[in-house]
Amino acid sequence: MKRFTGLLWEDLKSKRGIIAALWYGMGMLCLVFSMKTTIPTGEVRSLYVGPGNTSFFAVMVLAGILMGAGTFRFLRFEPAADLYFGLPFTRQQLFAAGWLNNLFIFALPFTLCRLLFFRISLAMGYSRYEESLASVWMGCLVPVLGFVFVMGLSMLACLLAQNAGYRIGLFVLFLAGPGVGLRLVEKLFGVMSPSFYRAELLECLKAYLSPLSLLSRASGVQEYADGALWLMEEHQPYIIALAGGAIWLSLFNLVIFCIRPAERTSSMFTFRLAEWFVRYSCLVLAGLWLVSGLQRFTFGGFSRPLAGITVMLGVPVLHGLLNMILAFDAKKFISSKWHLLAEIGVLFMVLVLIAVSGGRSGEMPLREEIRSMAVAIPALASGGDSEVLLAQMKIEGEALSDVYEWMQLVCEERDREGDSYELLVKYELEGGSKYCRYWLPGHALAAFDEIFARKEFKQGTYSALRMDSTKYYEVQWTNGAEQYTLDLNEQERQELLAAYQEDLEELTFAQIRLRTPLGRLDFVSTKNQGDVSGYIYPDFSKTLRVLSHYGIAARKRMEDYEIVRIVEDRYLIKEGLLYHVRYLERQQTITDPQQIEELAKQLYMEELCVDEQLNSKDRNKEYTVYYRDSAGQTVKRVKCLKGL
Amino acid sequence: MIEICNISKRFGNFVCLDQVSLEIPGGTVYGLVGENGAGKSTLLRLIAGVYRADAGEIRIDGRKASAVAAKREVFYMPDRQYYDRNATPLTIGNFYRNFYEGFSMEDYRGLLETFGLDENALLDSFSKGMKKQAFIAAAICSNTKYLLCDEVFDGLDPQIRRVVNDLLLSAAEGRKLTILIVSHYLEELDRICGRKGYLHRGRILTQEEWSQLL
Repeated sequence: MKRFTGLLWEDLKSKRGIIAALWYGMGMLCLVFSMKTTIPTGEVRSLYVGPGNTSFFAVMVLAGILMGAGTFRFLRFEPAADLYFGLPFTRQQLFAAGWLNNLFIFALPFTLCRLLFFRISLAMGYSRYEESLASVWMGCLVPVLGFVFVMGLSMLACLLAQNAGYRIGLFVLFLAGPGVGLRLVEKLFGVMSPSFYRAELLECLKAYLSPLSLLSRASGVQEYADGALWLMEEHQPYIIALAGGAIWLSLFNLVIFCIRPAERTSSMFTFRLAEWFVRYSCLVLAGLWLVSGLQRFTFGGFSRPLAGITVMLGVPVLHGLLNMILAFDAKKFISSKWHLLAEIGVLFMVLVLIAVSGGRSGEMPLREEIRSMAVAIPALASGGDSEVLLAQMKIEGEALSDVYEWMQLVCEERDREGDSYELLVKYELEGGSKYCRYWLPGHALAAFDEIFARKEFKQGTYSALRMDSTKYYEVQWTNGAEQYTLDLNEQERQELLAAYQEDLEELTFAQIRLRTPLGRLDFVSTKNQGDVSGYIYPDFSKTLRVLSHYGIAARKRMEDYEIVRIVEDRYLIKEGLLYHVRYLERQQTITDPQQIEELAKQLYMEELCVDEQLNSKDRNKEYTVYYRDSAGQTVKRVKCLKGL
Repeated sequence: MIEICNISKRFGNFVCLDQVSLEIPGGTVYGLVGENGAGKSTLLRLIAGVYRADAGEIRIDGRKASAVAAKREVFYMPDRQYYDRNATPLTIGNFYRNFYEGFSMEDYRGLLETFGLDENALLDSFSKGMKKQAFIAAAICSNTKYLLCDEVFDGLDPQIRRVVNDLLLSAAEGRKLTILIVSHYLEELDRICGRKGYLHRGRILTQEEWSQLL
């Protein structure tokens, strides 16, 4: 024990540089925070005390990478390896000393700094003790787990590769490889199977297998939620996975450290298996990228012969490049012929696997299997993000049967051809969710009115319909040319919301296709609960009445402004070899009042032309309208589009 | 006693040691001679537990060379010494004191004085020979049963070489220290080694084979 303590002490002394850097960095973070005098409106507390603090997250990742890489520096110098391996210790003891010291070096200043942050935050009134306490402790624990995880990845890269460049490359592969690979697989699923939208299993794999995603989900660094609102239940599975990953990596590194030869090998990698791992991982990533890229350039659906040709021609090139990279020798371009055969086989197998798995997603489930479903038409951009929409909508019971029948009748599982609209569907089945994509033929678009009129669809699509309180919101109105924040009390805001909700309920799909919005209402949260926006259509009589009651000229169109001049830009599209080029063909300034009056009647603010696929505008012409503001003092300009 | 049984070690395609067997009795000063690349340093590293053999076994007092119990009795002094940039002879002594229970700081300071080394001077400011002296002092004062020295005389002037010889001999005689020395200095080895081994292309040669080769 005494000798092991001595080893810990000597190892600690050799890391005094990183110790000083960490304490200095943490100290500076505390100092800067304590000098913060005010919180900007709406700033959230998790940025200070919760696990989602971006500064601490960055420190954790950086420290993990550096300390993981520096743990067994002695392996890089022969005399140092002679010294350490010659000492009376087992390799397990040497590993344990480095690992424990790293944990201690990071965890101590980090935890102290986070607790100090909490004290400062309490003293300054940024946080309340009871509601933030759990978040604070998790803010200490999660980054420490994350540190062990990142350190493990960095350590593994250093144990497996023999020089700095390859260590960095291997680390990048560990960190980003799984995420990149899964995204490529997802893209290919989309190309190969017309009805593939996304798979829950892939989402799950992307979240858990991609180290960066796992780290950010476990800590909640992307959420920007209030520290008090950091919910353990939402992060628990990721934290458990992170802890599991950290433990597994530590044990795996221990095994590798114990079996790793002390001497340098002639290869760039310590073990032949590591070289194979790199070779085939890079090959699959690059091969999938190549296949996916070429499919995209063909502007059509998936073609099996093209994929085959890509593999047959692409793999030999990739093989040669990999040979050169792995051996760091350009002369090795043509070598390892058996690997070439294996690589072609592996890539074909991967593609066949993707084709088979992707093909399954195209089948429409039986009605009896479906518990609920959600439908989104991305062309309806005014309804918001399709992904959010699918998560919010729940069509059940009788409505479900009607929608299902309608879909069987109208929608098709085929490649997009000409005038058709994408339709995204989420089926909630007994065994989990299934996402599909169908194509609604252009001539049948009017039939979507049946779905649109459903209460469930509107509830899921329009977030304003889901709002029940406007307590912590302020209301903003804009028509693209003017913008006002309405000075309303809570009751007045509630009345405006009720009027808007009534109008929304009466909105038809035909109105969306024929009428362009007059303006937009934004319910802006003052407590970071998320903003809610909604467009005001010309038929929204109740909303327009309430707004005019508060002095907003909500019916005002472009033609109602005093227009000084209009600049018309005419664009033409030229077909290129790979993509189309849009260029300015002509510019014209219109100053004649009569011409302006005529033209203004057909102009719509570009900001409000959201549903351009459903309600088309002339995209070949852009208009910059110079108009006088309400006071008539200054000239402003706004971009407009002309109706067809 | 150090027993080396059929040890083989390859570096890629290069066979460094090919089924080498050797016995070094306790209390002897054993010299290992051989041309460059013969595998002398590799054999020393294998005994010290730095490298792992591809085949064969090394036992020290009946224990596996890689076992902590065996390593506790072995002090390995490589050809090139590694130390911290801010290291002084004193910090080197403190370093080894942590790991070798028998390390005598008093004797170490005495030897530093004998060699005329300032215990607080930076090792980086020393010549190659002076650095080696500091490590020889640490090796002797660790009071282990076995001492493995790789090119111990390299960089030492004749006077210091004599002192080192005397120190090693007195340790071998006084406390039955077993010393294995790898060196090109045949004269020095002749002077202090009771027994010698000849390593050539990964194999141990007999005296006759060695003479013929010379």
